[in-house]
Amino acid sequence: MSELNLENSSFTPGSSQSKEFLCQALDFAHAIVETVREPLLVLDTELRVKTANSSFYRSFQVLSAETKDRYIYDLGNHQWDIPALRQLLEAVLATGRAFENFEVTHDFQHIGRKTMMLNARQILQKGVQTGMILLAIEDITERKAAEITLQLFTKKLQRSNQELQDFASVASHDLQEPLRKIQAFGDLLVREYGSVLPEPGQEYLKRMQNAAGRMQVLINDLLAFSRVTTKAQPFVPINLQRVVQEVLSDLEVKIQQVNGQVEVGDLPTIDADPLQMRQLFQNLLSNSLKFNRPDQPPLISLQARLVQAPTEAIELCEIWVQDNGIGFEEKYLDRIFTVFQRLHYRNEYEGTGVGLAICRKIAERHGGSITATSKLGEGATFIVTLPVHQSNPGSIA
Amino acid sequence: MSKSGKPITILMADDDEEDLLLAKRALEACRLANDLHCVRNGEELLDYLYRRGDYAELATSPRPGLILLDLNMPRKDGREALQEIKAHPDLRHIPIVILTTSKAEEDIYRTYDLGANSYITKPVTFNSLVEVMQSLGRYWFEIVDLPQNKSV
Repeated sequence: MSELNLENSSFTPGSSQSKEFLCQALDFAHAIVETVREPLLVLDTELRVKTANSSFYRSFQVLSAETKDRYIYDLGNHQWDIPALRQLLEAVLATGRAFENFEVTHDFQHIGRKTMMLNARQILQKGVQTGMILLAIEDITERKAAEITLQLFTKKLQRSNQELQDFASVASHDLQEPLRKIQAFGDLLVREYGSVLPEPGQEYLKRMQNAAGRMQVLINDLLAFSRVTTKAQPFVPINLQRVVQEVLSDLEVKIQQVNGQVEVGDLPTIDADPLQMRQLFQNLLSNSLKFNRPDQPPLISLQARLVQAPTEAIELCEIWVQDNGIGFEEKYLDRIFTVFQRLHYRNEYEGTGVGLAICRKIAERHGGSITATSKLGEGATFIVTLPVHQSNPGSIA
Repeated sequence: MSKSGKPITILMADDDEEDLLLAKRALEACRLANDLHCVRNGEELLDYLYRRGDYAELATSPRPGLILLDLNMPRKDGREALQEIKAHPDLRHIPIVILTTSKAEEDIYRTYDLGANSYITKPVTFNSLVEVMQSLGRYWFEIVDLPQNKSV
């Protein structure tokens, strides 16, 4: 590194003071080159190795003797003799322009197949090109492999999302189509020939039509469940107080029918999908209204509080929906949030068992969770935890 | 009968035999079916309107007062047929009601954009289909005034 430039006005070539300074500067430069974790090569104007750092020797498992003063293309069984690299290095020599991030995958002599990222530039002295080239080499094999794994994983995820969307459209069209015919011709049969059918025949027909109607509801509910993912909207700041007021006005008739009462505390503004928040509260409140005790009008309390996440430095919004309804045994906790799982017979309570499953899916899409505490016959409390702030727009779940 | 006393001619384009049958029954149920004609795809629909091939005779293929158009049909679908009819200086006056299973917003948007007069998703129950037909008949043959039809 004797060509190193020293920006010192008192520098007089040949003086003992300048020699000492030069030595210091060389030691300094040497220390830097040696400390750099990436392999470095300094090439002269003929592309011979002038200096290599210890990382280079370590990484490529070569000795100084088989490296120094050798032509770069002759190193390690000509492993650097790559036409594209030749072109780039020659361009660096001729034009003085640097090249960055040249990627090369190659079977290296001692270390096998690796992907290296190469950066090169000419070394300047007092703003003048010296013709010497600093070549930095980075082994990106592992990063590359991780990128490929990530890409494959992303592709897989995209595919499964696509399949889910396809399923939703299949469910909406192809399944509903024959079902619609069953229902319409059933209607026609009742209308035109219902009176000539004996009593049991009419009964069978009625059961068939009920079953077809139920299947229609199931398909619609399944679609609603899959739409949490397929029709997801970006997260925006949303005032939950306003959302709940809207939901309450939608549920007004139902609340009056069961002589219910809903107390709402202060609710915050959080980053969320507006339609999904509406659906979340609609489902939770409908659930509490539905599973009321026959001897007692439903009394529902909806409260929220902000808490700090136990492990991370994020603020969470805890929403509590407490009712005085029939409750459930806590051993069924997982079951109530699973799609199409019900704890009651169809003739006791209507519904397909999708409402709370949608709540869980919405909470999870927002990076939150849902749980509940209850005792049979003593009401239930549903607790939804949602992050107050979202870092990504959340357009993809 | 329409208010002018002429028979009501409805042309239905649908590849689904059962839907044609249900529509026929529904029109009968509301006494509108005195002249229902059916075609099975967009090509046949345009042959009918242009009186080509099997539809050459005015007596057997009269100009419809209303077209019920399905969107998804083989060979030429409802969207293409709609575009062609609405681009024709004479045929464009015939009201076209889209009657389809699709609830896709883009279908609704696109067909209105092409000049469809109404968009209806096929009802699930027979009774609601009867109601739809009754309303359509009343609206297009009793309430609204349409331009006098010239022959094609």
